[in-house]
Amino acid sequence: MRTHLGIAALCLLLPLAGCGGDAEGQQKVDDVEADADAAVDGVVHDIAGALGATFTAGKRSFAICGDSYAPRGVTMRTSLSFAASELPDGEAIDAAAAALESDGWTVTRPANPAVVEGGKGELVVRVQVGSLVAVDVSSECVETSDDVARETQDRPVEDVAWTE
Amino acid sequence: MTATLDVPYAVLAGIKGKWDEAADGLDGSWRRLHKTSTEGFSAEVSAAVEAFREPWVDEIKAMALQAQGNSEELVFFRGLLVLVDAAQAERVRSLLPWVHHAAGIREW
Amino acid sequence: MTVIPVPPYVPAFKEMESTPARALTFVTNLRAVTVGVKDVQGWAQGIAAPGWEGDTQAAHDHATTRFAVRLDTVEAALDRAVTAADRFEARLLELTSSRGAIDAERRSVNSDAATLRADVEAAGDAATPAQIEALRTRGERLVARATEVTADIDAWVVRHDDAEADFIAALARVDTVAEGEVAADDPGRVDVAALTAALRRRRDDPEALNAWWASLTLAQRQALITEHPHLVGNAAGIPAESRDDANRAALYGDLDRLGQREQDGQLTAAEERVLENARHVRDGIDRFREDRDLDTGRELAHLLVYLPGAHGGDGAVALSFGDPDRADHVSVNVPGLTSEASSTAGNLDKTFALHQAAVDAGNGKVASIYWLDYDAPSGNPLNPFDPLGQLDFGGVAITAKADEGGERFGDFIDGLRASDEGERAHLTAIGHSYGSTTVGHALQDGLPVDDAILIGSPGQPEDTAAELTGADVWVGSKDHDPVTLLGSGERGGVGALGQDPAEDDFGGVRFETGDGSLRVEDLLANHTSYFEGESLDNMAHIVADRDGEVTTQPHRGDEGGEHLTLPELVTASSGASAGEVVWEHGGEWAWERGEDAVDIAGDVVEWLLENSRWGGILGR
Repeated sequence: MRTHLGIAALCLLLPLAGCGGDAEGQQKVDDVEADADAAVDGVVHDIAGALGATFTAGKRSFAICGDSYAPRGVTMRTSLSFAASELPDGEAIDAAAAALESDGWTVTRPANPAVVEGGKGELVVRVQVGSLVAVDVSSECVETSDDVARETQDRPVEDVAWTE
Repeated sequence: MTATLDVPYAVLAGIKGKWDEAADGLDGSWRRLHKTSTEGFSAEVSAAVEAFREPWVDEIKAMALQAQGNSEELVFFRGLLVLVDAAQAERVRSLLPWVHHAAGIREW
Repeated sequence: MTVIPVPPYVPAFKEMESTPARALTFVTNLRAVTVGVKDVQGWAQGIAAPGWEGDTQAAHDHATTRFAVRLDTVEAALDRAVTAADRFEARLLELTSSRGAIDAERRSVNSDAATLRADVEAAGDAATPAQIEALRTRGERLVARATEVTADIDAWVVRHDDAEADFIAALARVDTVAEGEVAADDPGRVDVAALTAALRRRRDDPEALNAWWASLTLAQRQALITEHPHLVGNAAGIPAESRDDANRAALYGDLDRLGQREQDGQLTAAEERVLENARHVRDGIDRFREDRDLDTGRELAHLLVYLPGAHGGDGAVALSFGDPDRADHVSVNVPGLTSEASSTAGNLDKTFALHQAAVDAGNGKVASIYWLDYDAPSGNPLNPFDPLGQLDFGGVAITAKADEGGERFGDFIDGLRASDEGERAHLTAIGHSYGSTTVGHALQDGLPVDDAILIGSPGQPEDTAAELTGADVWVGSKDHDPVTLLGSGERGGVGALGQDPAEDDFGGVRFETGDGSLRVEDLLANHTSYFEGESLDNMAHIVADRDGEVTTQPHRGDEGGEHLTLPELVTASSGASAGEVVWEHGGEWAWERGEDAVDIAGDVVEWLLENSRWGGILGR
């Protein structure tokens, strides 16, 4: 019993020791990435079309949710930039909100009239307009083992493919 | 015939490392200048950037090679500077700080 | 027949092929090259013949002197190019900004014209004279606006073409070695040595330094930046954009020089650490390379502190999202235990999340800074297996680091105040964990901020917020975050770092964060998740000066603010988790030994208290 207890106590004390399953955590990361890709190919294309905005760049990166001694998991961020919309800012935000809604995203309009957000599952799409259009597809904390969190954060920043 | 240079060993050993560092510093510089992208500039600006860049890449690269050559001029064997003749001793002396520019050279 | 004037569609105008972001990348690279060349030239000049411009035979025969002279030619040409590229970037920023405003008006005119056309068609022949008059007035106003915006576009195009032509001409003046020699001999060349001495004299006076910097020419500033990037980049009072320019130059210069030495196998241990930290900082910036200030098109990130060898090799870094000198609201967050340059990535993402949330609050321009320029204690204080995690909670050293950190933080904030442009910015200091204690020490010394946010705080150096500062003090403290139970209060707490700010007697405003999970394996997660959810939203509202939007929760000691002490939390959370562990990890085993399972929670707690840091903290 002492052996069992020792292991149990270790796992209790330490997310530090990374007792969570690596494979399970990696699968969660993969799933979030797949969801983000689908959002880019789907609703983000719809938004760009509605705004008449031309894609200029896209990047994806990960960061640990917690601190270095207790990473907890990772957040994913896919950021996309577009040349300015032909629409006035207010109309552009309305159009982006409509595109999100019609794709089943729960739309939030913060106090800033140049911003709209949509939420679905673990993902949030944030659209901000100005001299250009910035679209973020980001995730809440995806819980993983510490090793998976650190390895995922260390992945180089990746370019995001955009197909017209 | 060999020669010796009347300069403390520590100065000689130290200056070799400094020329090495200089070569590394200039190497890093010309490489960065060489790969500086003109992406995101108009064609006219890109052409001007390239015209500026090339001669200075060549010049910094040449100076990096010179610094590396200067370092390699200082050859040591068993804690002694190896000089083949007075001519080489003069060359080495000119690579040292100015305070040693009149250091004595002896031929054996 | 009545004619209603409707302006024709104003077409989209020239896109900017050369963008400020690309110009920044180019000038950053050019500065890094110049830093590398100046480093070597400075060394060579230092050992060259005195008055080496002279032509005595001895000096001429001195190879090192010839080397220094030849490299000086390169330096002169690069100085000219850097100045031209910096000016070009500044003009592109202005052009982007003005283009945005002009284009917004153009789109608005087109939209209004389309509406007017539809209204005219809808009114048709049945329009009354009053309606016709109203439509005509609208039309005339629109025509005037269209005429004005067309003129603005034409003027903008001229400015744009001039900016490109000037940059091209400036580069063409130094695109041969012979022209570099002319530049080197120019009697009007910047005297960097004199400028450096003048800068050093003002280093301890951010206001004076800022005023002096503003009096310099562009060429003087650029020459100083590339000659002494670390000095300029980390000097309180220098404007944020110049600090960013200097620190990026230093960063990429370090990467080039040390990268080359690494390839040659010549790195010392200290250089290895510096290179590693430089790479962490570069990677941190690269994560946000495509994020722009949506008004100017400039890269959002500003590197305000870059000292890769500082604090015993841990390194120092501060990075701002947005330009703090031009923002209406500035926040600076200070991380806690174990923070060093290598932990930059995760901390930057938290700061960026706060930045976006504060922008969403829609109360003006926002800059959000991550500041790590103090010697945060290393190691995991909660992990008994971490050899670095040997913090002495009862010792003097732990408060000394917060005190010293507080002084450095104060200097940084003084610098921000000095370089602030326009109306005084609303400034918020945020401290997390041990960083909150550091912020507390800075507040104690009179930190000039409007708001202070203390999250996950292990203690404050004064018993009350009023004694600590005149700023508004906000406290985010999850009851199941064990670190927040370390501060002294009515129900105990070690108090080594001072007072628990979540207590009612302290007098701060405790904003809503929730309590966090009670499972023992989540306790650290509770401590590291303040930049999420309700807690993040509340901090964003404080940062954006939307205090009325902040939701609160009862203080500890107030009605509804009941909470566990640290020993009670460890016991309760261990018990809560033990049942799950037994079930999840050994259900069958527990079923077979049902009589033993009930004892497990108690044994685990005992084990934790005896073997973990908790035991040490609690004196077991």
